[in-house]
Amino acid sequence: MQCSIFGRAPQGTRFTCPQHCQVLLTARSQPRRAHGFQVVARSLEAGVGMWGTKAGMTQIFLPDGTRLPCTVIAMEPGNIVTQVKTTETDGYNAVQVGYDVVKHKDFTQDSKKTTRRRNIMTLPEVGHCLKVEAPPLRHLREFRVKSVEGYEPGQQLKLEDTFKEGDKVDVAGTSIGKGFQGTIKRWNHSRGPMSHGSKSHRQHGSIGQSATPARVLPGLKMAGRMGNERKKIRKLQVVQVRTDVNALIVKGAVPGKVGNILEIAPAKIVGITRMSALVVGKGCS
Amino acid sequence: MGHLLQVLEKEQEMKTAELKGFPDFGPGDVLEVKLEVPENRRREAVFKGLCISKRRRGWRTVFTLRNHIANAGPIERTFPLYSPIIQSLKLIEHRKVRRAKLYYLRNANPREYKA
Repeated sequence: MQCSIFGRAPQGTRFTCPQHCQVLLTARSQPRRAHGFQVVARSLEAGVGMWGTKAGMTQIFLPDGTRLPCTVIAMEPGNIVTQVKTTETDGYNAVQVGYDVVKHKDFTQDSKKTTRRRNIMTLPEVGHCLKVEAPPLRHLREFRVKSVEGYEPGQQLKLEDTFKEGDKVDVAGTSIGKGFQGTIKRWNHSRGPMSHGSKSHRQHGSIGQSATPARVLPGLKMAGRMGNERKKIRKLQVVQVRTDVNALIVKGAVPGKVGNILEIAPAKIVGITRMSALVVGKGCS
Repeated sequence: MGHLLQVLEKEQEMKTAELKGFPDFGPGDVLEVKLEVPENRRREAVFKGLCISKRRRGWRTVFTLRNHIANAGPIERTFPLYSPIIQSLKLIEHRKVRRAKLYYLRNANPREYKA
């Protein structure tokens, strides 16, 4: 038997292609190749978080009539542990979580992703998910933690186990792209006088000295592309955890527009959650 | 994700509307609002006024009432329709108006909007 996507099943450990045709597939039977260098994920988190999708903003009333501006974050199918990294195998402890189940028409045989279609999955990426009997997941990220105890590859992360009401969370995502902007909007510079003979209305002003150093110093704040970059909003309060509709409601705004993919992790507060993360290993109080 | 936000807002809206039974009102209606004032030991207060605007946004609907009180002068308050401090809404009378927002009454003589 042969699977049209994955080809013939060679020898080695075996599992089935759940999305497609139930043909037996194989994973590499040898252990991962030892690299000469070590790739380490982002800095240590306060605990393992989850992926979500921004569903939009709404208001929630407190009993005294105060309106809280809140963001609803939908937890769509996914949030499955795709890999657990440990000090022994990878040099550091991390839990890799995948999100956003991909339909099989979005797979490509082209392992170098030369196709122009975004968000397409290559077969090695699909195989990485199938190895833990998870559906193919478009987004993967690692939560680097002190201890990976209690996390198994293939485990479905549950909203109610990860967050509870009153928790503080860090929410990261891609901010709205603003295009090419001047220094006033991009770096909060002041503008010049608009009248009285002034010609420097919204100019950036001087960008350096004269013959010494005779160049513009790197990193100078100037006009350019703004937004469309990874932003993290820290210490947002969890207002509600809606397990019935699989949604998390946090106080305040989060990056991006509706439909933006977000990474939600327990808030990293030095001295509080970071310390407890060191001691307990996962979760934040 | 679908229409998650709309579903959540509709659900809240229906629940509160069923509980309180608000009348269908709009600009030009004179309303009497019974309020629970949290600052004043949850005592009930009544606010009466002419509705000069209703911002229809489902769960986020707000309306503005304007009145003129003999000793205090003109008074205008904006309420979120589904706020927990609103106990009940009573429609008293309807005045014929030709605008959706009656902001011109802010510059008018108080007898034109006095409720």
